[in-house]
Amino acid sequence: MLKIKIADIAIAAIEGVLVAGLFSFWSPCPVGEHIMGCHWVSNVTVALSSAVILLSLLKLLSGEVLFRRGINSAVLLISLIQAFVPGWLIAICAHEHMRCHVYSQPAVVTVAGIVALITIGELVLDRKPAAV
Amino acid sequence: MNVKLKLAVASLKHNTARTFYMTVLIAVICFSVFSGETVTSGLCDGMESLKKRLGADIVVIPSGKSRQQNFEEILLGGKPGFFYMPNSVVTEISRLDGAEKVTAQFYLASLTADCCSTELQIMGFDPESDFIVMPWLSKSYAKKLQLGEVIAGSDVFVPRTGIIKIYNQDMKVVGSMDKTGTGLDFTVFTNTDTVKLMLRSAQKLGVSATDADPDRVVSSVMIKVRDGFDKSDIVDTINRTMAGVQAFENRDMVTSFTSKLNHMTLMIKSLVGFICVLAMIMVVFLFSVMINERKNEFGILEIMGFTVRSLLAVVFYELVFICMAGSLAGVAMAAVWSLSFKSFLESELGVPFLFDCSESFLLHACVTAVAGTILSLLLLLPFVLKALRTPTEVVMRE
Amino acid sequence: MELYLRDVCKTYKGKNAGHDSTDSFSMRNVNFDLLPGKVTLVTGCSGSGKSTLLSILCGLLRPESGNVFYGGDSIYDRGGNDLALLRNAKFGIVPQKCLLMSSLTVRENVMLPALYAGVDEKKAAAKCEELLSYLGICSLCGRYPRELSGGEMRRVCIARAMINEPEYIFADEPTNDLDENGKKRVLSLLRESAGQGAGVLIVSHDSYAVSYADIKYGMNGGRLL
Repeated sequence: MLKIKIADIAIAAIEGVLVAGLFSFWSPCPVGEHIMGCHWVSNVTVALSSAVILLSLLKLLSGEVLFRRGINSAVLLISLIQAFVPGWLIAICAHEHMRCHVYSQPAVVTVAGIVALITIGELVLDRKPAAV
Repeated sequence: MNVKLKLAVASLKHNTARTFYMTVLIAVICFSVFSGETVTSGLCDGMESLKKRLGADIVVIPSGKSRQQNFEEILLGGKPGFFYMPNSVVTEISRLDGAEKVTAQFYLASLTADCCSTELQIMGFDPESDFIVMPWLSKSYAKKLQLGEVIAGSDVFVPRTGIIKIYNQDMKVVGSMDKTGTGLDFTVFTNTDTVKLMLRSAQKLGVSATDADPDRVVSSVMIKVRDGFDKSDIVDTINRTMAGVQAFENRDMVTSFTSKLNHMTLMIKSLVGFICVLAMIMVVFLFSVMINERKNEFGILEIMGFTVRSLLAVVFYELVFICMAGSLAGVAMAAVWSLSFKSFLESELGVPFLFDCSESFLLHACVTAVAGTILSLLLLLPFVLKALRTPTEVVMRE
Repeated sequence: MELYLRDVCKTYKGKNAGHDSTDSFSMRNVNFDLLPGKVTLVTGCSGSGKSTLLSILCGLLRPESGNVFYGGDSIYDRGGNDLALLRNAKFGIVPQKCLLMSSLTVRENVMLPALYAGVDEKKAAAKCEELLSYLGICSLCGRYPRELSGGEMRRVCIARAMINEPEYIFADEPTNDLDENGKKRVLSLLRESAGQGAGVLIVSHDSYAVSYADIKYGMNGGRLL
């Protein structure tokens, strides 16, 4: 159970780093005269990350297996959607050397991939009910 | 469903943790191998593409260390730049004995456009004398470029209208280049007259960084050396006799990149090797522990009358599932990772990097997944065979 | 077909031999016939060689000398696959330690030998139901082994051994972990099988089994008495 809780905290922390990064070191292209696609990608990503953070923290409150499994399924789905937001679901800038291509997209895909992997692990391994 | 397959599926489902850890470890191996291979092959392809595109034996540019750096950045990093020298240099070089072909190029950097694009490198060539750009440009556009027509590099953003506005001049994009993995992917190619038109327009708008007369300057001169002449002698002659210019062999530039590339490739391969060995040790350890725990299970099946071949089939089905799932997951993750890190690698590595989601990439992914499955099976099967040799009497007497 | 062993010797070395390093005989020149339609009981103290006799007879432990004959042919001269298939089709074995496949339910465990032998699933399920009902554990058929008690597991093992209606049944301590009612049910089932023509070998130190046996042997120091 401790491992599961550590995994939940790790998910929240990783998503937190992504949100912080999107406002600083891997921020998308700056907003100029026109608002570019990557700006909306960043907004959507931040919203999805916040949802994952909240769900992970919510999961810490319950020892109910089915409750955790339900939240894990939601987190898995959200992280998979998140991985495909930049470039697939919402187009980012056309120039491949712009910030959104070089920094934002890889960061989002990596974080979403790691979160998806941890969540799959939790779904597979977390089967026993435990006291909170 | 076949009894053996049913048993294998039941075992996989029942021992989810075991199945998960084994699958993850095999996925880690396949992920490292495939992503490592993608990066190294991207580097090698980029280098090959650079060698093909260089074409000239000797390059002459204005003197100064920063000029050579600028030239390399234009060619490799897609960082726009420009420099000029008097066009009399072209005539002087043409007179040299060993110079078989001589052509001049004219570079210009555009201003940052407002949306979805950055500064562009503009490369002008002389259609009459060119032997560098035309041979590979002809694949994209067979006709002669007219005034105001350009060919865009593969990564240049072209609006739907097909018109790029540079220094208030509308340029019609008549073709796009194949990807090269070099700075040429961010370059717009056109004839010298069009570049001069752009430079004049920039000067008129008051945004030009140079006041050079477009009709009296060139940026670089490319030389093809006649057979039987020593390239280094010609380089020496130019550097000694002509003021304000510097000549160097393209080979030297390639050599410096090749050594950088070899260093990088070695580092990547070592890292991949390390991860693989570590993951393999863990897989083997986990599997041998697991198979030892299952000796009783094999004993029960033997008591029931399962042949050794049937026992092998049960474990084989399980392994095939684990290895296949692990390999596919690893390769798929590596493919997504490579595709999303493509731009990062291209701009951060500092060497030519050619990588695209092509058919060969997908084929390579499939081959890696199949090879990963087969190799992990070969790695683990000896442990199964060893475990199956345990006599059943041990189970009977326990 | 008859099943018998002739002049069988088996020794255990090293650790298994006991405290000294000299060879210890588990079986010495044993001759034994397992008769169809009869319940044969072999009793003896621990280490007397009862389980070794059973293992050799059912083709799980090759003797050092002598041989086991089934229908006049030596079973150990058959290939490994043939011997395994013979075990599946003709023999039903209840090992001393009741081991079940942890990934399968009680019903799946019992049906497994039948399905492996190619018996139709419906037919196997019906037989399984019949056996489990007889042994009083029909309600457990959807459970996994980890949810069973020792006695319940033993009854599942017995049902599994009998699912293919074997010609010979080998039961090593079949009444271990069972209460009186359980013992009665198991031994009656074995007795009934013998009544239908099967040769039953029970290896046990439980005196309760004596009343169910047609032929009784004692074993001491690797010799049948």
